[in-house]
Amino acid sequence: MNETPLIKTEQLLKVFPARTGDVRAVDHVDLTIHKGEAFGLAGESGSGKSTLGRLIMGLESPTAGTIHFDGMDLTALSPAALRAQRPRFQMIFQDVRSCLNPRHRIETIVSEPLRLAGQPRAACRKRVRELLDHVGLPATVARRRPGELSGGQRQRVGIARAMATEPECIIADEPVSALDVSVQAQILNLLRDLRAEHNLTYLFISHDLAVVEYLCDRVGIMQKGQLVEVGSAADIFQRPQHPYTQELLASVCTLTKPGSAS
Amino acid sequence: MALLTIDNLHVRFRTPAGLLHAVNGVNLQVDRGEIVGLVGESGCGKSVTARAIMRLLPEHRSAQVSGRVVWRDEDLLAKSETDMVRLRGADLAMIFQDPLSALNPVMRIGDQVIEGPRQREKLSRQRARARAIEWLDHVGIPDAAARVDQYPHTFSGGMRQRVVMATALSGSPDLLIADEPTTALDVTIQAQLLERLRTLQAETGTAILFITHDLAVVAQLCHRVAVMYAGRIVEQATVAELFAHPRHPYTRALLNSTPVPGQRERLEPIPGAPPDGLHPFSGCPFADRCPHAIPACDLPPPLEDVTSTHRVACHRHEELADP
Ligand SMILES: Nc1ncnc2c1ncn2[C@@H]1O[C@H](COP(=O)(O)OP(=O)(O)OP(=O)(O)O)[C@@H](O)[C@H]1O
Ligand SMILES: Nc1ncnc2c1ncn2[C@@H]1O[C@H](COP(=O)(O)OP(=O)(O)OP(=O)(O)O)[C@@H](O)[C@H]1O
Ligand SMILES: [Mg+2]
Ligand SMILES: [Mg+2]
Repeated sequence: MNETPLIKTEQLLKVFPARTGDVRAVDHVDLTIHKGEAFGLAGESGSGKSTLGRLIMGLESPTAGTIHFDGMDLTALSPAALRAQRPRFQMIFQDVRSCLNPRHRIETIVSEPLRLAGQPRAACRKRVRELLDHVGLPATVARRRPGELSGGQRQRVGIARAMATEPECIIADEPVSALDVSVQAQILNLLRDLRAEHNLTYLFISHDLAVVEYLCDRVGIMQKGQLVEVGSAADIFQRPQHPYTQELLASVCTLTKPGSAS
Repeated sequence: MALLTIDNLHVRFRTPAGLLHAVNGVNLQVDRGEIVGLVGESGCGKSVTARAIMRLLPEHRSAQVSGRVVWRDEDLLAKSETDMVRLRGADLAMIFQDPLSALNPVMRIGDQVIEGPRQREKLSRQRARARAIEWLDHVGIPDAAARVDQYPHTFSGGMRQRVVMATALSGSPDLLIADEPTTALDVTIQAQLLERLRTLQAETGTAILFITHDLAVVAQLCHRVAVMYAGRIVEQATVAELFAHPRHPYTRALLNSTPVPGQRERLEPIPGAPPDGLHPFSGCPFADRCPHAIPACDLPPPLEDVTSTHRVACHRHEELADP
């Protein structure tokens, strides 16, 4: 592909200073994600996946290295210019609860990105209903507050909000890990359909390899801040090269469905 | 002997759209030293059941709780808040579903992990710190000695979840209620943690009510499992029985909507949505999504014994059983 990649990081470095020694959360990562691609990021807990996502979202600033979004150097953009790009990419956060204002109603939370983009009230309300329906929530949750929902319902509110502005790119940090299998299946199918309809690009962070394999075309494996292996989903899952990837695949605890074994 | 017996538990919430029936007559028992899994779709009432046991629902505002929760011959639902505070510190511990909001952002990790035992056993600062490091190590936090003095925001999602687990275990509770305690963990670490949890459980005899949506985890960890749907227990069995011979159509559907490694063809979610709790009904709650529903399903299915350890609430469970 010689099209401009949607996301391109070069030698991206993030160091968190600590008294007991610096933590290299993201250690010289080169990552390229093309338009319309679903890129899966998996790896050990604490390996830097969320930090990488947050760097790309501009929520952390890199210690060194560059991030290009659609050809623009994000680290060089002014805050105003960066804000203008905002609706084009959205993030679904790992810790949903901590980023949903507990005092606001779900309606307000989901429509926030729409209101920021200047949409009229009535249109917002209609869109909220539509979004809630997409993620399998009844319209009655619109008037409740985050504390009055179940964990999986809150997670879906986070997903609905990220989708509100129809972004081109979604960075999803463990979006389905709090969901039971049936809702998870529904959301994964929705993510697939949205991508097919709108040519969406995903950076999909998940420790669940079956989910990554289901949704993603290419996969990167992180360990201790480094991207140790990148390849097509087929290559990573059938012909893993790096010892850590092999170990990760070997420890998947799978379920034998009834009927397939006794 | 049963350590905990939940008897006909009902929980309702007042909401802007009307009275929401979240838990509708749950009966469940946890024995000493037992690990019981509680599984079911999002919103089916798992966390609300857990919070009802711990008496952590907004009973003075929107929640109406009835039934009995018997803990060693005493009904927890009848206890005063003072008694509950004492019990929650020592005998009963809970790991909440949202690990970040469970941690105090301005308190060092180590102090949070050891807060309970430190007060009860009057540990010196140094002893407490050493113990906290031990616990962090136990749950697999790398470089625990360096990490013990840091604050929660410097920990990754999975690390925070393990800290919460250490905090609950450090008080050696008799019953641990763990609400989705491994969702943020990668498989390698999850496998290690479950192994540790099992060893620890065998040593200390702590009973665990393990809430999860991950059936593979249940298969790996639990002795018994209860499947919840729309605020009711619809099937209950030993782990071996449930996975080999699931009887309830809902349990089967759950097993079938799990992605397995190598899956690229479309997943089959259970069609439709669970009842919203705002419209009470009398029949089988799963009937309108069930491929096997018949007119008789308009009547409530009783919970019937399949074996002495396996019970199911489905009118057709016998004819639908595997040959
Ligand atoms: N604000 C911070 N200050 C100090 N250290 C941090 C900070 N944020 C993250 N870290 C450290 O950076 C490393 C990477 O964290 P990150 O959250 O990116 O991991 P992750 O791969 O998302 O893990 P998980 O799967 O557990 O969510 C960890 O060692 C973490 O403790
Ligand atoms: N404080 C509250 N006020 C009103 N409704 C509530 C409240 N807490 C929970 N509910 C509702 O009660 C039902 C059961 O919620 P619960 O949190 O027990 O679900 P859960 O089984 O734990 O689901 P999940 O797997 O998504 O965490 C849901 O419909 C939820 O929206
Ligand atoms: Mg993370
Ligand atoms: Mg819950």
